[in-house]
Amino acid sequence: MVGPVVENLVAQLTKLPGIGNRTAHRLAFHVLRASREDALALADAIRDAKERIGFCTVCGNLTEEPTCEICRDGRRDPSVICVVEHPVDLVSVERTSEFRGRYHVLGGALSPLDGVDPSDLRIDGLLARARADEVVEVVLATNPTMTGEATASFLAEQLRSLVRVTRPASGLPVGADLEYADEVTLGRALAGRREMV
Amino acid sequence: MIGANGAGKTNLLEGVHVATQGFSPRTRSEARLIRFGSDATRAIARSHARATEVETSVTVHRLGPKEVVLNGAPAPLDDLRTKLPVLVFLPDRLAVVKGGPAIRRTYFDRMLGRVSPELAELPGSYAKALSQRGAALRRVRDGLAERASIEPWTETVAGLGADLDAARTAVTDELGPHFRDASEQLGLRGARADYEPSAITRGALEDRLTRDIERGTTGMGPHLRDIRLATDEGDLRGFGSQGQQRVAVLALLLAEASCLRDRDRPAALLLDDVLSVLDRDRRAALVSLLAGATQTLVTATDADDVLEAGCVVEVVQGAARIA
Ligand SMILES: Nc1ncnc2c1ncn2[C@@H]1O[C@H](COP(=O)(O)OP(=O)(O)OP(=O)(O)O)[C@@H](O)[C@H]1O
Ligand SMILES: [Mg+2]
Ligand SMILES: [Zn+2]
Repeated sequence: MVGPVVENLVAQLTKLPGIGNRTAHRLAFHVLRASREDALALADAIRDAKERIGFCTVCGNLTEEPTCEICRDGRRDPSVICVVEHPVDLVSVERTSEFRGRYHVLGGALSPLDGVDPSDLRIDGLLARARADEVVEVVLATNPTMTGEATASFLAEQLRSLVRVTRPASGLPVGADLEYADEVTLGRALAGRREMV
Repeated sequence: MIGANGAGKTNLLEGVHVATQGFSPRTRSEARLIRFGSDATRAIARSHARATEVETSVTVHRLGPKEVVLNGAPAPLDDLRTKLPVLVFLPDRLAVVKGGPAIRRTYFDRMLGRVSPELAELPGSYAKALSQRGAALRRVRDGLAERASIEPWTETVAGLGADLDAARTAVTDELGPHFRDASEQLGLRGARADYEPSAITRGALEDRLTRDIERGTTGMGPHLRDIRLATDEGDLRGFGSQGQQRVAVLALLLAEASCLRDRDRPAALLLDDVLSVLDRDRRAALVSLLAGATQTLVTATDADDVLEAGCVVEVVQGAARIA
């Protein structure tokens, strides 16, 4: 109906999370109606981000440099590490302004059904960091979902002999991702974090 | 609702179910609800849930998703069920008594969700945890992951499994006296619904870990337990007559209705062809059980004097009118 070029654009957009066929069509027509500069700026931004952004070699956060801004920031407390599943969760925790320590981004949660084993996550790096003398506490802020809880319990087992292991207080909506928790609730959960037993 | 064979009584009952629950109690392939030669069907119900009026409309298309409208606004399917609780008896429901344990587990787990809505997610969560643990077991067996990767799933399965054991025990305990009473009034003495919990714990799962890895599946837990339906004479599944089994199915439904009433969430009842399975005394007993308890829609092929107390709807060739 609209030709292979537009079809391809729609197909690419449909791959984005939360974008169904109808929304993809709307976005595609929007892009085609937009000015040449605007449309190409979007294309360039995607290309730029993909070519220049990589993972922090220390914590797994997104960064343009070998290490991320937070790992380079001397004012951040090196004694506490907050473990999250994805970079987007790190952004959620940052937005609460409740946490002044450092992060560790696992890159997902354990899910044998989806073929995600411990070796697929940045767990060795976390254990190595936790062994450093300066680290006193690890906060396991994986999502309050079944896979997030299982990941936290697996990590707690490995970390317990090395550091104090805590988990944000309950009160987060169960089953939802951190990404969708509001700042106040997430901030309160972090402030009231408890030792994992 | 009275009418000849093929007049459309079951269709009408099914329509009430679709309009209030959002799905057919009879068939999974809902395209069968649509009139031959049409593209869609719509069921609309105006109901009273306590003092508030609720209008629901459910449209099933031959192609594309179902549309649910609650009081004029699009709504998720699950909202209907909690707004307008309805329990349904169909004559082919014998499988609950006669069939294998899996059918009874599913039946009681759904009942659990209706009686204790806060536990509605539990059976599904347990099933999800089980399949994660199963996958973890097989990955270890196949050398793709280390044993330690099973541990968090053992913990999750043990926790949710113990919760599910407790919930099934609680719901069968709550149902028990009502089930016995309803069965007895319908002429079946000493009826019981017993659940024997699986005694799943983390330790018990760890003890059988090697076996579970070999088999690639969790070998203990509520997913392997049965709910035993019995009378003093024995298991209804094996020993019950056809008539006794029918009565037991009906009594289960009436007992659940009593539980819901005790919890101040009365459900409407849809009973298809129940009268034909009961003799005259039991028909009268059933009607007096129902009288005043909750709104009940009953279908029958012939006018029956025991039904005279109610409002009679005549169904003729797909059209219904109040007699
Ligand atoms: N999708 C459909 N479109 C049109 N007619 C249908 C459709 N599905 C079923 N029917 C017809 O509807 C009629 C009524 O069926 P229904 O099961 O409601 O009858 P009933 O009154 O319950 O009869 P019985 O007393 O035998 O149970 C049947 O003749 C059947 O062929
Ligand atoms: Mg019928
Ligand atoms: Zn970093």
